[in-house]
Parts: sequence; C-alpha cells; structure tokens
Amino acid sequence: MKHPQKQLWRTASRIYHCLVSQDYATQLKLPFEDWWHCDRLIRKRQQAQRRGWNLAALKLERELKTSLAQLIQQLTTLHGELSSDSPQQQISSVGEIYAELLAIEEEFGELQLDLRAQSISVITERIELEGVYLGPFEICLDYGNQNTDGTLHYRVIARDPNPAITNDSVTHPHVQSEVVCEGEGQTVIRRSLEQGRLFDFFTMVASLLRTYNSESPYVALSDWDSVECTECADVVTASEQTRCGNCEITLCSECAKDCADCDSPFCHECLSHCDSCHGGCCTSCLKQCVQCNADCCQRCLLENERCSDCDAEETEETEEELPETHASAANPVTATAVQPDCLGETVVSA
Amino acid sequence: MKLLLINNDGGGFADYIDVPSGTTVAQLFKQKMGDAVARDYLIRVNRQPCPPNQCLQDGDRISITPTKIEGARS
Repeated sequence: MKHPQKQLWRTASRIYHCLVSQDYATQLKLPFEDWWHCDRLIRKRQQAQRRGWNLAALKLERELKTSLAQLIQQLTTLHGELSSDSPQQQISSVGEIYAELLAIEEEFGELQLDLRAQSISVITERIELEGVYLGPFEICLDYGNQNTDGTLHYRVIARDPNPAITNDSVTHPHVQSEVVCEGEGQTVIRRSLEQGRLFDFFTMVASLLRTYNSESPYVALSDWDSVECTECADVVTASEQTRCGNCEITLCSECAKDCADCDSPFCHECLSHCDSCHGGCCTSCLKQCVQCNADCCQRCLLENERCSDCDAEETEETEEELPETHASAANPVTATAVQPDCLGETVVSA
Repeated sequence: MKLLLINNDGGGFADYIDVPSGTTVAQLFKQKMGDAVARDYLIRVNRQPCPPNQCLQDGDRISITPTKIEGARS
C-alpha cells in the first residue's frame, strides 16, 4: 500500500526533528568499551592457556579476532571522519528523508508508518539460512526512542517465529529478544541511523538477517533443533533427548540412567541406589526392608519384605536354633528348664 | 564533477569526491572498491537502481552497501 505524500512528509519531518535533537557530543569518542572487551578476552585466553583448557582458549581466540576486527573498524571510521573534508555530521534534510522513505517503499514493497507510536517498519521476505527456516522479520525503527548512545532504537521481530529449541528468545542466529547483534555491521548501521540514511539502514539490517556468521551466533544453526543436556552441556538433537522422570530436565543418552526396576530414565540427582546391590533405582521403586530399614530394589527385597542380608541372618539364626530344638526333644527336662515364662499356658475362665 | 559517495563497506561515512566527467558507475566502483565483486554490493545512484555503464552526473549521490553483513552475538 502506497502512503499518501502528506503522511510521508509528516513522518520525514518528525524523524528529522528526532535526529537533530540527538546528543552529538557522543559522536567523536574512542571505542573504549570495545578496547576493554578485547582486553578481557586476551586475559581470559591467557588464563585458559595456562590451565590447559585448549578448546576454551581456541574459542576465545576466535572471539578475540572478531572483536579486534570491530575495534579496528571503529578506529578506521574515526580516523576517516577526522580526515574527511565533509562536515562532521551530515544529517539528512526533511526532503532527503522523504526520498529515503519512498526508496524504502519501493525496495521492500510495503512500508508501515505509525505516527502515533513514532515508528516505521518493513517486513523482509521469508528467510532461510542453511536449510533452517526462520521466517519473515519485521524491522521496526522506533524513531521516538533513543538508545543510551543517542542512536535511534530499532527492533527485529520474527513474524513467523521458529526460535532455537534451547532458547525461545533467539529467533535468528544474530537476534535475541528482538535485538539484533550487528557484529561487523555495527558502525555502518549506527552511522546510517545517525545521519538519517534510512534506506541504507533498512537494507543493511535486512542484509544482516540474510547472512549467517557461524563464528559468533547466539545459537548455531547446526544446533537450532538441538537441545543441551542439563547435566553435561552436550548438545543432542531433539529426537535424541531424554527427560528425567522426576524433575524433567533434559538429558543426553549418556547422562540419563535407567531405573533398574521401572526402566524410566532419571538424572544423577533423582536416581537413588539400592542399599543391597547398589544398582540405580528411582525413589518410587525403592522399598524399605521391614527389619533393617534399608532401601532396596524389587530384586533385592524378598517376598517376606526383608532384604537378602536380613533374610540370610534370619536363616542362620533359624538353623542355629534347629539343633537346640532337636536336643530339647531328646532331653525333655532340660527343655522344660529353658522354656520362657507363660509358654504353653492358656487362659482358662473361672 | 562533485559526487556524494556513501561507502557502507567499513566505516560508512559519506564524503564528497571529485571525479572526471563521464565516469560510469562501474568505473567509480572499481576505483573505490578495488577487487571487490560488484554483485556483492547494492549500488544506488540517487537511491535508484542503476546499470554499470550509467554515466554519473554532477551532484549525484552514490551509495555502495554490502549485501552480506555478518552479525554476531553481543
């Protein structure tokens, strides 16, 4: 739907006023945050190397390379700005912003304007990366809101969300909770917003959504339909996952241990052990020995509800008593002498 | 003639440049982007799509935007 010219002009005018009211004192500054981030990564990497955590060190090295590239890019931009003959900040005029809005409408087919909410948005085509369907995304620029660094705020909203199984808020490898992590595009995207180059802004965010950086995703596409084992943090496909029969946490096949009696899977915390055979058994299946109160699995608890140890003891005692019984029979006087009080007596009514 | 060039590959700052009259879009791209492949970029003249052999005019606004931008995690 094409918007009336008047509506586009009003939007352009409002955006222009938002842009000129921004605090440009923050424009020329050294990228300290990125510097300290790199510094932290270097120290973490050194620590990992010292402790022999080779995989962690490699992962940190990769992250460091990306962060250093961003730092270099920011410094290059700063140098470029100072070397340029152009004025420091070139904010687009109302007319230019109007032309930008027309170009966006032409590029994306539809431009949604909301003067009351002070937002403009476009919707991308359905995005699929490496065979994983992510759906269309709405790129919504809230020009009435500013970020803490003075740039205009924007959101990336999944219109037909297919989030990662491990994290519902990750709707794209580089989008979490409607916030896109711009990576190498951070400087240019922010610069386009600062200058009111809205066409560049929307096309660059859309390009970012169509590109996958396997080095630094919130959730890797290879793990999109996978889940993390709560115990060992290993990643398994959704079809291979198991849930603990008691606390229902996600488990991999290695960490899920079956109860010896009911065969249901349980996590390490929820699986108890039989005091007799020490086999894994869930608390529902364990029963106490009536004699020693030991927790026993069904196999170790005998029909007389005694554990095998108690049963063996009782058998031994019975066997010890048996010769005495034979002896009493042979010598009735002795047998009478050892009889306890009241044995054989019966209450007779008067 | 004077053009406004917006190079979104890298810094993303806009700058006025002087080029000889009759310079085409492809020539300017080669001059500014070196060995980069044109199909990896969205090139617009005055916000409109343009053919490679289009001659640039004084006061034109040229934007060069990469079509592949790698995001990250925060």
